[in-house]
Amino acid sequence: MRAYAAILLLALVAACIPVAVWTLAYFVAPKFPNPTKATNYECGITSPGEAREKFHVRYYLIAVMFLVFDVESVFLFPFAVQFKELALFGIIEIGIFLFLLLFGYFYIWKKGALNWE
Amino acid sequence: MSFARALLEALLRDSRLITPQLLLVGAATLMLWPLDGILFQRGEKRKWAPVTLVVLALTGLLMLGVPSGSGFSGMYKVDGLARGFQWISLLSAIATVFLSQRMLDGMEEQTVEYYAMILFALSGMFFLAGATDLVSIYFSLELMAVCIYILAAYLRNQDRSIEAGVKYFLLGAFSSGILLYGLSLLFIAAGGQGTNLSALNQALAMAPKNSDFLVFAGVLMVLVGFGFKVAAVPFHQWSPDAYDGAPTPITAFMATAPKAAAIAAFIRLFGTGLHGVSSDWVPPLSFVAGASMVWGNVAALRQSTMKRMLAYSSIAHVGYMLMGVLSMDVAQGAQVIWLYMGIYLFMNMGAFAVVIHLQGKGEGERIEDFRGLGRRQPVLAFAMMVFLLSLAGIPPLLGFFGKFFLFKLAIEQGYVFLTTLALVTSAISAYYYLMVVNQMYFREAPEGDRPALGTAIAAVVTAACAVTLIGTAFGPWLLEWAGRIGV
Repeated sequence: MRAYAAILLLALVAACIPVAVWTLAYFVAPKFPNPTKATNYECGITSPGEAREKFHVRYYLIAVMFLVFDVESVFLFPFAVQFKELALFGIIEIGIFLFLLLFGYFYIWKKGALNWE
Repeated sequence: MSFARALLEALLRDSRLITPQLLLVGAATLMLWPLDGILFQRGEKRKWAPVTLVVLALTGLLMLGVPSGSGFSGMYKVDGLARGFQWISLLSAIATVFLSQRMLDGMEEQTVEYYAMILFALSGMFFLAGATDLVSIYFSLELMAVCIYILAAYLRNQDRSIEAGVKYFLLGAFSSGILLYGLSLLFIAAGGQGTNLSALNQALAMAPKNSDFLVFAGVLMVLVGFGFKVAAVPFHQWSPDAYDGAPTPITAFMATAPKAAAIAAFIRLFGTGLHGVSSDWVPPLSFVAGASMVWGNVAALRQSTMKRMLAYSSIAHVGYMLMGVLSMDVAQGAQVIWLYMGIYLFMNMGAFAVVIHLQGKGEGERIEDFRGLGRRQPVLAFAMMVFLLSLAGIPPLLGFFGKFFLFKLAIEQGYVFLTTLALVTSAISAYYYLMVVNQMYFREAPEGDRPALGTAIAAVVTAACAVTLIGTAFGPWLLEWAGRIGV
């Protein structure tokens, strides 16, 4: 357990720094609040409303598809690097993997989940 | 180059072990996408049911030809245990397709997805029953569970069904997280060398003394995760709601097939992978088994709907089966559990078939709805009585022999208190099973007509009742016959 003492120390220091900075800012910083300043910052445009609102179910579909194809690339990179060594075996394995992903994609396409209007 | 060639040869060689799964997955995939629009148009989807039955029958044929052996770097193994529980899952899926027809036709909810999900779930169960590696156990468990979540929420216009699916999904996802964490702790405690169960067992035996707590925490978490999957007290809360809200044929499916596969993995993981550290899991598992028997049976007494009652009764039956997992003689434990599960499959499917028959279009599943069934449909009532008495374990019916062999093994293994508890609670369980019999034979029938018995339901009831009665005659020899289940 002694080996972890350094990590514990780091965690303690890391926890202290923000507390110290906030406390310092609380006492030192000048305060002139106004309504515009108090609104949420949204890339500089006027905020249109609360952040907590219902999202359309399509959002989740797109998010999941993004995730799936993002993870796909995580698997494709090592495959590409080791392409020569893996030879036919690699092609079969990655083929199964890609087939499963593309199958799901074509399935929701056929189901009309991508038709929006 | 030779490395890749060896992998390729291993892949081609080992794929013989999983031909049934390949057929299931391939058929379900083809059904979902290219074939659905081409073969059967909208309104003809009910024709997918016979196609599914053909696929299931072919799967059974393929299973006969699968050689025994281990493959995929020790991740999957075909042996007596895997085969036995795969047959139970397959029979359950076939019965479910039969039982589903009336509900799906009545609610006009026939889709190809329903059948494809059953096939995908079944392939997950097949993999789970033969999984001999932490990773393959987890993956096949998820493949099975995700399909069942979808099936539980299948009637998407009914709030109850959605509720069942969401509850099952949330708690299932949560328990999967706990299970995965436990598996990773075990992996670390075993030195992080491998995830094969036999290697894990050896590594845990040689693990340094200071990793004891790690092993204990990992074993407990795995126990919690599996406890959720098989719905054992105190991890059972999802199951009455999920059973109640899910479409009734799917409830029948959930109570048998996934449970059989999860119990098989339970035996495999605790019996072979964690056999060496049994002092860590025997006390907590004994508690879970005892609590399941007591709470499952006591809570079932107070239920007024048939599905909830059967859900609690299924919790109690899991408690009995966990006594077999506790057995240090793994092969014998596996045999009696397999026998119990197989017997439970027939009784349970039969009882659910009668419930589905009375349910008609999704209404009327209270226990009072059984009033006067003995006069209206005497044959059906007789079959229901056989299933209920057999579930209660009243001699000389088939259910008695399942319990007898299980309790006998538990006594031999020295679990005297647990066996006494099991005997007392199965006496309690007779009360609520007999309450239904009482309703059927000694209460006046209400006014109104009962629907005619459909062919599919009649087939399931007849088959289940015949097996229960014929099995009763061969009861004393059943254990010898089940001796072919080896680990």
